[in-house]
Amino acid sequence: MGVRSFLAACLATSLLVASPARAQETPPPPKHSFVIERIDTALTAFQQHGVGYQSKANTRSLLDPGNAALTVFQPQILVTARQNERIVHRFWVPIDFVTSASANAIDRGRKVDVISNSSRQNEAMAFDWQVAYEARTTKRDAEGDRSGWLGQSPKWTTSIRNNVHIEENFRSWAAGIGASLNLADDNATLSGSVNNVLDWFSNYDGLGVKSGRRTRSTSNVNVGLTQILTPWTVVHANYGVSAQYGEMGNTWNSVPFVSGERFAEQLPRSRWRHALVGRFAQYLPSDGALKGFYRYYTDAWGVRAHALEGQLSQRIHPLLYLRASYRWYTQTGVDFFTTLSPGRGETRFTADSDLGPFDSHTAGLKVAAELPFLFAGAHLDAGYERYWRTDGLTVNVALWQAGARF
Amino acid sequence: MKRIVFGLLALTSLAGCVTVPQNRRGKLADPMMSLTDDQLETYRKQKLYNTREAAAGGDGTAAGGGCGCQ
Repeated sequence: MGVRSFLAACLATSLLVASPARAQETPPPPKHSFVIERIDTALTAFQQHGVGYQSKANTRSLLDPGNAALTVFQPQILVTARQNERIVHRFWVPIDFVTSASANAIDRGRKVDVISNSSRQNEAMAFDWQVAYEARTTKRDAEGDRSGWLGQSPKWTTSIRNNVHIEENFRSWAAGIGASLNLADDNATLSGSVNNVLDWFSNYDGLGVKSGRRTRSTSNVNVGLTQILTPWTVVHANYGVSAQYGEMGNTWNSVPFVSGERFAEQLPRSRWRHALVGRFAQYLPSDGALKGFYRYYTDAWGVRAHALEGQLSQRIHPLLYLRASYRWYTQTGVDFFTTLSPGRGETRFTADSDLGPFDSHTAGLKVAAELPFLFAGAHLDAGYERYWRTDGLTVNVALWQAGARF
Repeated sequence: MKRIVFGLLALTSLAGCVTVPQNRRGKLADPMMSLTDDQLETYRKQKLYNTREAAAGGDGTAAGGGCGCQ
């Protein structure tokens, strides 16, 4: 799809949905009407190059890594609708079209070569529905007493989220509940959430022979704090822990052995994962903004990872700003990573390059424009990112976003 | 784990230690100052990083699961 076609589609969609919403502005909408507040769309194209042992495409021997080239085309739409002054719904649909070394034509009654069909196509789609309820514990009063720690009007927000994900041989259901409390006249926000993800998928071996189904569950808890420090500075910290149980692999990855053969990847049946995140945003006198992100990650498989990202934005027009970003990431491999197993009776081994030790870098540029002469709150963003790893894998990313508020 | 719990309690105790009046938060409302990316950009980044790297999480969502490529 060309850029013009994409923009035209976004604007046409916005027009279609805007009409009924605007029609309700005069006379004022009743308190319990269902009004679409905004629509956002995104289109991203990923192009990956490199090699990895999870692929056997274009290899000369069983011991070589295979071609890991793939393309992902990813459209998304997010609709935000307000039911009344307290309840907000968010409907989100992301779709992924992937050419990959994974299985296609599964469940069609034939044997599938799941590790060499690098040109096959896979489609994935998710439906996500989030409902948020906002409430103030006391009535707003401009002359109210601010002496209390909670401030004059602490605000509670609770939300419930459901997500269904569908791929050819994979199904997933995720549910979560979250809450946040704004304190000290909205200067501080405490937040927490609990999520659970259930996956079930077909079990294929390295030759594409199907034998039943496998399952995996992921339970997750998060707590966070956001604090305004100055009229120009805000900081945030978050901790999340996830516990996974069940089948952790895709069931068909294989590992080269010194004997010249490949055997099926063997992963633990559980994985505890911890992540601690810090963020800050600082407004700059040049009418710009500097943002920073850091994450420390550790898990039960022996991975230790650090991610550090900086974003520098500069407004060059009241309706236009540019953003440059850079991210550095490093990880140790899992304890049982190998690209050539000696075959001495190890019970755990993987050659998945994503689980090996490497550093990665991401550099990106983005331009964001507001278009109020089209719609109130209309915006259009475009950008490009390049991701490269020290093991040779590279990904080019082109992105477009467009949306409007009604 | 004790360090994490202690650190979180210490952070929580700082909540509200500074109060900036609402009429002085105009700069913080600028879209450039949003601490987190919007939902669509977050998913785009997660798609790249969570499928190509061993680390995930810390952004309010589960680390792993929910997709055949993770």
